[in-house]
Amino acid sequence: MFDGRDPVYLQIADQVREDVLRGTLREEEQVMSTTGYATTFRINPATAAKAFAELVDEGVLYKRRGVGMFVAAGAREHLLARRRQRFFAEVVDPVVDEAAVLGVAVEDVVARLRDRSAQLRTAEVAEVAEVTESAASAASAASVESVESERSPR
Amino acid sequence: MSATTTDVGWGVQLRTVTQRYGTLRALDEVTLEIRPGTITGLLGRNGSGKTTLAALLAAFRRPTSGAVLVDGEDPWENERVAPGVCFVRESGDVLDAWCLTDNLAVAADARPTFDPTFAAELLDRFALTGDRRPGRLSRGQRSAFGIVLGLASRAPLTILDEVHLGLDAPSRYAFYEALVTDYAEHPRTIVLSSHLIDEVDRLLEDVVLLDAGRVLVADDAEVLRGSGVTVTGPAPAVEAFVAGRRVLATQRLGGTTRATVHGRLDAGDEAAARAAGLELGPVPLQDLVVHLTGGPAVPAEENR
Amino acid sequence: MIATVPTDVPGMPGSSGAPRASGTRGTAAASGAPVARRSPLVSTVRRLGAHQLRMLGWFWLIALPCLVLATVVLDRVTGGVDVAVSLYARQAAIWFPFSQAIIVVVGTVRVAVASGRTRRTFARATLVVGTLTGLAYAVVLTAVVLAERVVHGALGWESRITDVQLATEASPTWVLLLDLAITFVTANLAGLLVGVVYLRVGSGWATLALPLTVGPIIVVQYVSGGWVGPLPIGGVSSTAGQVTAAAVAATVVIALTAAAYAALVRTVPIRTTS
Repeated sequence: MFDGRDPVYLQIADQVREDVLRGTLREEEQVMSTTGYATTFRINPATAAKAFAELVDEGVLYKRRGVGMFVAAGAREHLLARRRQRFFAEVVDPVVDEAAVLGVAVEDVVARLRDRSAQLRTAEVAEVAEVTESAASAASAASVESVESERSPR
Repeated sequence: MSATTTDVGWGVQLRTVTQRYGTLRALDEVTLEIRPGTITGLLGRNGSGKTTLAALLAAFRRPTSGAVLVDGEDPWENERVAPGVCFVRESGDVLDAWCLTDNLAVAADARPTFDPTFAAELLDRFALTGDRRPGRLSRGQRSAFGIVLGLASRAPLTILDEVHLGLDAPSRYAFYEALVTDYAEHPRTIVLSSHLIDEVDRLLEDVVLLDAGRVLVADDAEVLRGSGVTVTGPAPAVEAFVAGRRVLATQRLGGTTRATVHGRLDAGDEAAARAAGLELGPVPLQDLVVHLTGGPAVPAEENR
Repeated sequence: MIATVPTDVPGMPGSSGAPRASGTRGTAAASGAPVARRSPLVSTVRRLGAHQLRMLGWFWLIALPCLVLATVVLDRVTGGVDVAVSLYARQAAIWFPFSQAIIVVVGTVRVAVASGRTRRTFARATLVVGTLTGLAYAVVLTAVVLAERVVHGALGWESRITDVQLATEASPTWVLLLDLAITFVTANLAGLLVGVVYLRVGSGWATLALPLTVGPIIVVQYVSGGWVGPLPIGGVSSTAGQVTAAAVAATVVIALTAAAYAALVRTVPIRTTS
């Protein structure tokens, strides 16, 4: 755990941001204490404290004295906004650069982007449909059962 | 008069401390600080002066010259400071003829911060029984008992000198876990000396690196970790990039070279590296320490 | 990875670092209630004292049967014992505790300092215990001598003291007690001194310094009238005068020995290998 190239405190901070973004950590939820981090990952608790300090500065966490660290209200939105800002510079631009290196035409990249986006939407729709269908069939099966049981002789 | 239970732990200051044994200078004009309440790594090769430094903090000896201050006072024959400094070293300063329980009682009598319940827990964790004698224990068991003494003392300045010797890997991990957990719950100053830097790397907040009695580094561990970088790529590009920098080591495989550089790279350097197709990576603390204390840097790149 | 573990119970300090009830120490700590703090001097005296008491127990456990056996043998060989056989144990009671004291210093200064005590505490504790040990041996041996007189009397034997220092067989008990006490206390403290000299200068020089460090025992025995008979203090020929002179001289010797020991222990370095 936390074996990456960045300093451990940065990795911890990134991990917490990730959890907040994904919804694994919800607002007002308590984060594991520095002692918990220290014991679980065999690191100096000051390292976790450093990560928390950074996250508090950012507005992602806040401290309740004597209790611990909690996810701040609006943290997720704030992180999303920041991510979106950096999305183009850090994700899209490298794609264009790499495409240039490989000699891939920008139009092909755009086409691929559209295709993938369409796929995702179809998959979403299909998922929703499946859920609806299974719910409907479950409901009809239940009603058939009840009708039959009404008709069955005593 | 007697050591009070502090909330953070005791800081240490050394001012131009020299320790001479005849003509040998074990410590040479050492000036450094150990921040209170931190886990500080005391690193360096054998004979670099680590144990001598620890001995001065624990009032085992007086320095030939210079000032040693523990919690602001000279620890020598200091009734207030003495019970609060616990120095555990590999030779083990216990009574071989008395059983472990009695040895723990000897420490408990003098140290107001000693926790007998915690000591009993630790004895269990390392599979030691109180009725055995240190003289009959194996190397690893003796080290384990040293750890029990050192941690259960909860001394505001605890110095653990190579206490892992003889312990197998699972026992060492049990030690690190006990150390960091108890430290988190009872903050104090812990000075940890070890050659297994890879294993203790993440436990350290500060680092003191000694070499031949002199201080090479006394800094935040993160700063030290960030003071080195590996540059990997095609040999000519690497050599061009590292020209004029302090190169600690070079590895070559075919046409690819990896150079370990001492120094920080700013954003401009990083961009230049990427542009040249070079890959930048971190240098593990262990490697940094080895390189910094291993002798002269690689001549070829240095002499350009 | 789920980073949330609700570990902190409201009200508990968490990572703020306030110490638990473990600030207490000693045997009552299990309850968590604060224990009245004993000074390290008292606890050190107790431990060392208990150890010396054990040694004393073993000594007499072995010595008494030996004395009885010696009496029996003498009786068989010479057909009657008119001497105080018990006082043959005098030398043993000098040199056994003496060697114990050396071992205590050489072996445990290191442990005392490493366990958070000052050398000053160690010096005081060892001096107190050394003195008490000397007195204890004196008391026990005096009691044995008295018991032996009763037994000899019943058997029709005398109890002549063969190596007379201050006390003869006709002296009052307190003179005998004083006689033994000053020799035994000196022996214990001299042992401490030999031990600390050994630590300070190493075995070579320590051996050369033996006349100085064992000297106190010799001197005290001399002033007690030991080696060459009653101390020839001009005009002092009465027993009372002799006893007073011996007591004064011994006090001086003991004080000097103790001072030398304390001064040396307070500067002794604990060796490190590197």
